[in-house]
Amino acid sequence: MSKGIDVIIVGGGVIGTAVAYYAAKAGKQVVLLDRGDIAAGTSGACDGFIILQSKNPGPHLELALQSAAMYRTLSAELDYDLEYMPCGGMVVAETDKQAELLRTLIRKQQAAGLSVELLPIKEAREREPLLAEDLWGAAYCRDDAQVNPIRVAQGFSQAARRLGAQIRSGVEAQGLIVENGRVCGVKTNEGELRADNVVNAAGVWAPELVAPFGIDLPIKPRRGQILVTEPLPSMLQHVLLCACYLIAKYHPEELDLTDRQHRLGVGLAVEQTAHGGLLIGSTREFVGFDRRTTLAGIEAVAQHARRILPALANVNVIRTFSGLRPHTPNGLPILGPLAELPGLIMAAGHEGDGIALAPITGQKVAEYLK
Amino acid sequence: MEGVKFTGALGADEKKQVLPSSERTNRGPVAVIECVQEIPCNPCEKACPFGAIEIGPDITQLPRLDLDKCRGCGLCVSKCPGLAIFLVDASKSETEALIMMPYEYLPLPEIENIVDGVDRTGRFVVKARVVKIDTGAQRQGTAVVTLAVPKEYMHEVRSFRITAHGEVFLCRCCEVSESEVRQAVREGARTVAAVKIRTRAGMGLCQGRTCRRLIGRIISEETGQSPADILPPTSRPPVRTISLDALAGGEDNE
Repeated sequence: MSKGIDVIIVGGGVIGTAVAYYAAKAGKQVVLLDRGDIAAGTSGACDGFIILQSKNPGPHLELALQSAAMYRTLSAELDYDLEYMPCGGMVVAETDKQAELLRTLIRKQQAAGLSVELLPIKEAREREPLLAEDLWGAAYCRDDAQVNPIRVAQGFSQAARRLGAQIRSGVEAQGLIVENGRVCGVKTNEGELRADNVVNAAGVWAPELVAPFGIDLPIKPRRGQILVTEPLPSMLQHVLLCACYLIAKYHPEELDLTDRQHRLGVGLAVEQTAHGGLLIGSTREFVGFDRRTTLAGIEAVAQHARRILPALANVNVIRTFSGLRPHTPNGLPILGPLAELPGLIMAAGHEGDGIALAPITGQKVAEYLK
Repeated sequence: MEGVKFTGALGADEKKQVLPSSERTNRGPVAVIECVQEIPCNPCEKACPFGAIEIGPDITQLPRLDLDKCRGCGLCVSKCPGLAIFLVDASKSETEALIMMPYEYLPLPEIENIVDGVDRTGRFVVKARVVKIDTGAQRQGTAVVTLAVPKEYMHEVRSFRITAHGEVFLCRCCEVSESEVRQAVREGARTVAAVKIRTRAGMGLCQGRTCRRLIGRIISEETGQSPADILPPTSRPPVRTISLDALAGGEDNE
């Protein structure tokens, strides 16, 4: 007789597959459901930043530091090349005002133990020669890194499968089974599945699963549009963000909404992937579940990238795509048991931090399983 | 549904429209212009030194070949950007016909190699013998290869695969092999996008323009689904590669 299922995980992105792996590693009987495919949603439509200096000191940064440490050995642990590159990262400041904002954040981050420093443009360009000369400078953190998010989800899911987890793509969680006030399974298009715990790792789609129980999860899809270039020789030494990204994330009140760049939430996020192509992002727009790319968005991202990295003017763009980031009002993911629905554990709402926080989320959520 | 518009290869009616009679092919070499889509393109007209190909001032007209003026020189074969012109000749032997075709892959075969002759969709038809390889300067980088095949396949074989080479790259931009694609389908990929996310096929410079149909066909072969039921990948701008500068436009601000 087979043992019952301990946990059903809804969602096969980086978060769901990470939970599946750490739960299976802890000896749990795991079933992961995804109505589409592994990494077919947000995790297949984002950049691969593992960036620490975008995190607020406190639990956010602490989790990120632990997660970043896990990534260093994760390819070996999963026996799967995650295209992890410990390249270091920079957050570019264009103006005195932005530099001041970075300085305040950095002071707190340094106090929390993060190795980060503010470099004037001359020093920043010694590390990243393609930066425009007329920028203020950049914050530099040697512990920032990058990874291929699709491979992270695939690596976790394949390793989980080797540990006995059932990874079922094409199976949709249509509703929760609740008995005596406790979640005890999931209704799917292939019948009912029962388990002691259900993990909601459905990202931007997470609210759907609990809405029938009168729970309004504060997760909203926020679209990010990204450009992909042709494969290029090595051009960038680091993953690059700009201060606009942090302003859009933490200080939206500072945005000038008469400016299109600001309205679209454009903040630079550039990385060169293991295959040579650059991913150049990104907008941050609340447009519901619309995953199209728009001319205004693409143009604004291209303009911003050209201003900060003028040498990119001549590179060729081969594709654009967009993904929906699971935004929460306080910028933090919703993790752990949901008081209103015992048996349900949340692991969603990471917005732009899902890749960076996936390993630690998987490990922490697996610890909640009874 | 058949025809260039649906499958990328000529359908029966389209073949009827472009293939020469056996009376003509028995007389000597003749061009076969397998061009059935009205697109603005006319290099073939200029390529012919005998004035046998006519398009006229409206360059979306289909080329018209004067079968009597065509001497079978084959100069047009490497001039067609769509690789749609061939030369066939049934006059040299009782049993074999010669087919001259453009071939833009590496490595090139060697003369007397036996290769897999394939049809317009890449399916194996018959073994073929390499008779001639022309990489002369006037070919401008497009190699022109002549194969000998049994006469009955003269109008079917339109390309070939070098058998000794082994692995076939299905996505040439990202160098994803046919066996990797088949493996992805066996692991559960049921759409072109699902194959892409597992293998990177279609993520390269051409954005799947070359491989998406081939991937669809492999999914169909492996699963028995009709090719029409297999979801195509999402198309996203730009249609052609474009420099970041052009995309960003003139001014930084609106």
